This record gives sequence, C-alpha cells and structure tokens, in this order.
Amino acid sequence: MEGQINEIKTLRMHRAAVRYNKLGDMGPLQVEVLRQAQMSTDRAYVDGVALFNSGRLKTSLSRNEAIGNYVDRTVRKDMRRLCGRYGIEHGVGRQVRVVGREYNTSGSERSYRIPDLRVGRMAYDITLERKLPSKPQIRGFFASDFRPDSVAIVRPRELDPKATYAIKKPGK
Amino acid sequence: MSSSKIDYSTIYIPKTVGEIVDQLGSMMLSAPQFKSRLPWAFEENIHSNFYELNEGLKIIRRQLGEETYAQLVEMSDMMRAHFEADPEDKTEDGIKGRELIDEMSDILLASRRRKAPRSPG
Repeated sequence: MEGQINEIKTLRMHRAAVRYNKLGDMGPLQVEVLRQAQMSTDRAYVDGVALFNSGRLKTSLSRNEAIGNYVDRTVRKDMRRLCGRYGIEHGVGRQVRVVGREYNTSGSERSYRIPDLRVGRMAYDITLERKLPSKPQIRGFFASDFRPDSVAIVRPRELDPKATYAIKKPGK
Repeated sequence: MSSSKIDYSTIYIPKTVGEIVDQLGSMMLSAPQFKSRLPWAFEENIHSNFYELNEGLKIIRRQLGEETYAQLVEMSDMMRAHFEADPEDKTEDGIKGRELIDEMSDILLASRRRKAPRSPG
C-alpha cells in the first residue's frame, strides 16, 4: 500500500515538473514543491530534536536556533536535489529558485530578500516560528520585483498540525 | 546499501560555498547513516553524501585556494572515517564527525566573507 502511495506521489511530481518545463505551468509545481518541502521539514525537525536531546548536537545557539538552522539547510539541500532529480530548471532568471536574491528595485536604493524557495509567484519560508504579514521579512518578499501572490510559511507539523500556512498578498 | 545502488547521473552536486554549507548542514542531521528524507524518489547513503560533498569542493577549488581546499578534503576524509566507525551513533566518533562538519562550515563561510559581505535572510 505504501509503495502504491509513493508511486502516485512520484507520478504527481513528474507531471508537475513536465508541466512547468514544457508549458510553463506553475500551479501543480507550487503544490508539489510545498508537499516535498513539508515532508523534508518534518523529517529534518524530528532528526534535529532527537540529536539535540541526545546531547550530540554541540552548539552555542539556543535549542530552536540550532535546530532551525539545520532544518533550513537540510530542506534547501533536499529541494536542490528534488530539482535535479526531476529535471526542474532552476536558478537565476528562472521561475524556480532555491535560495536566491530577489531584488526590490522600486526604491531609490536597490534592496533584496532571500526566500528559501520560490516557484513562480509563490515564495516559501522554512521556519520554526510563526510569522505574521507585518514582519519586515514577509513585507520584503511582497515588495520584491517578482511580486509574489503569497508566501507559504512551512513549519514542522510536529509543532502543530496546522503549523504551515499561506500569507496572501495584502489586498488580494 | 552499496554505492552501486546510487544513480550518479542524477545526483545533485553543490556548486557554491552556500550550497556546500547547506550540504554539510543536511549531513549534520542525517549522519551517520545518511538515509534520505524523501524516500520515494531518492536513494541516498554515506557514499552519495560524501561524493556530493567532495565533488562540490572540487568545483570551488580555485575560489578556496589550494591550501584551504586540501584542508577541507582532509577534514572530509576524517569525518567519513568517524561516521563509518560509529554507524549506530553511540560513541565519540559520531560527535567528532559532527564537530568536523561545524569546522568545515566555519572555514567555508570565512572564505566567503573574504570575498563578499554577508547577505540578509
């Protein structure tokens, strides 16, 4: 049964990658990337907590900072691997980016923010903390030149079953 | 799992200092067995993780300089030996391997700071 479920997930991911690469269709890929990022986040968090609690994670940071730091880096790596595995074109100038500067050139001085992930006009932030639309980082995402419609806040479900949520662009 | 089960044609190789630091961060959590967190799509193990790390270091070799590159390769080899010596994550070897991950990350980030100012999150 689990094998069949995994096969369906794989097919869904393949379909999303093909629709993006061949047709430029972002919708299915935005959903599948969210699913994969969520799974990676959940597992990395469980690993990080176990490592921290066993005393095998030596750090001068607080518990959440240390675990969050490693969760971030792990999910980024997993998402780059995901892109490679499914032939998803990503990087500078693409609609899919894993950690890349997103500039805001509307002001007199150019500034930028770095979402963990971006697929089309959706940004993804991998984090342990709840984030509000008023947070400068989130406002910065919305102000960047790619004008995201929404920002997905991806958090470990171990923290709360409803840990992950989307912040819509103000006024949308 | 043997290295022969890995499809090296689709493997992900980190290409920048930041990507290698992320690779090391991921290895921190998955050591010493390095099993995949995305099980239906990927085979992953100690061979693939160190292949990715070492190939990534080769890509940024010129940027690092020969001395730093050689130091990082040596640390990578030592790290692998520690993790192979502690597959159940029960002894000091697992801790020493992870200390090397942090030390390598620090060296890489220091090399980047020599090139450019840090960026905001």
